[in-house]
Amino acid sequence: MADPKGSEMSINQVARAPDKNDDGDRWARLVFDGINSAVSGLSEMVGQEVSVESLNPRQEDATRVHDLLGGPETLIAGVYLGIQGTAPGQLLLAFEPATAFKLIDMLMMQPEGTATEIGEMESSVLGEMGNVMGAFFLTVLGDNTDGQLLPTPPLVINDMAGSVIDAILAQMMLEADDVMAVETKFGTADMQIEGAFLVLPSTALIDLALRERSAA
Amino acid sequence: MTVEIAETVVVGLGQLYVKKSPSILVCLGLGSCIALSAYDPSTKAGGMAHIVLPDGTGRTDQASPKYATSAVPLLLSEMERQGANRSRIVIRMSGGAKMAGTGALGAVFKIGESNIEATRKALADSGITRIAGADVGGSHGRTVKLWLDTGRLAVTASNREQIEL
Repeated sequence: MADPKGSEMSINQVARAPDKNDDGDRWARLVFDGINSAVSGLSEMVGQEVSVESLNPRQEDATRVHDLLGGPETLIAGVYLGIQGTAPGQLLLAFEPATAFKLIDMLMMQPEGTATEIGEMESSVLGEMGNVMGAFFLTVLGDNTDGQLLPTPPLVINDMAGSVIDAILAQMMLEADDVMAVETKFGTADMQIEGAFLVLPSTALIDLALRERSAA
Repeated sequence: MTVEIAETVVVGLGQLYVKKSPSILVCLGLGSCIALSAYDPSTKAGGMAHIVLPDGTGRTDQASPKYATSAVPLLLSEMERQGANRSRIVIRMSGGAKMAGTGALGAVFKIGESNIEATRKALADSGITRIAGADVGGSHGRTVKLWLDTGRLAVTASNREQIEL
């Protein structure tokens, strides 16, 4: 059933050369390119092919955003990055804790099952991964707009999804009760890694993305 | 014999509910937000507000219960409409965590402390001088559940045992 408040878009629809005059398509195309770039950064880091499984840009009631992460009480390992520069926004990379442990083991080249909790070292590894993905994503957005966009240093938070995201949403609810959220699922072919990459842009960031880039 | 099944009401971000026994009110996965609960043991009416921000000064929706400054008077007046007497209302609050945050992101996560302060001030401004129970601050998420048949209020967190206020 179609969601009256949102539009679900498959990767193929996004990738099929959208109409340049359509704002939704321009935003979706930029996000798609950015997220593909971010996921390719993750692939390089873990040494495995990771691909985007679904990409859903949608207008979402702020009070429902935690549902995109499995519900408010779902335990997640989240890496939060603010977007700073020409226009603000927020990025959240979220994994189930078991997936985060697998990623940490891969990145630290240690046997699977070694990481069992998120301590200082593990937080640092996840943060670095978020940093790479955020930087790759924002480079694409910046290169295709007139903006200078940079990620803040990452914050790793391991707790209930609702508690991880409510302070972030509080910032966004100062602008509006509906937020533009981009829900992305990515993973490896053997499902070893599955995660969500949430893009929560400010109104200013969407405006920036929708403006045609001025001639150099 | 008729058995009344308790309805569980999830109080989402920025929402406020006032119900009568045997309902159960719950705020799930609180971080910086506050679950402000009110309960009248005599009428078994109870309410819960899920406060997101300290105040909405200058905003068109400043009367929304998402702000501490408006949630407190709204909760108290709704309780009174349900027959509660203000002098009997038991107030408890939980949440207001600072989940993380130093450097550039510190301000984002400082909102929990501001929510605690604003809620306490709004309660005092409404003549509520006694908070019967509080579990606030820290750096962990919480789920808060209030049973209106007994007034029991439990706070669960991912990193510790359940506590009751």
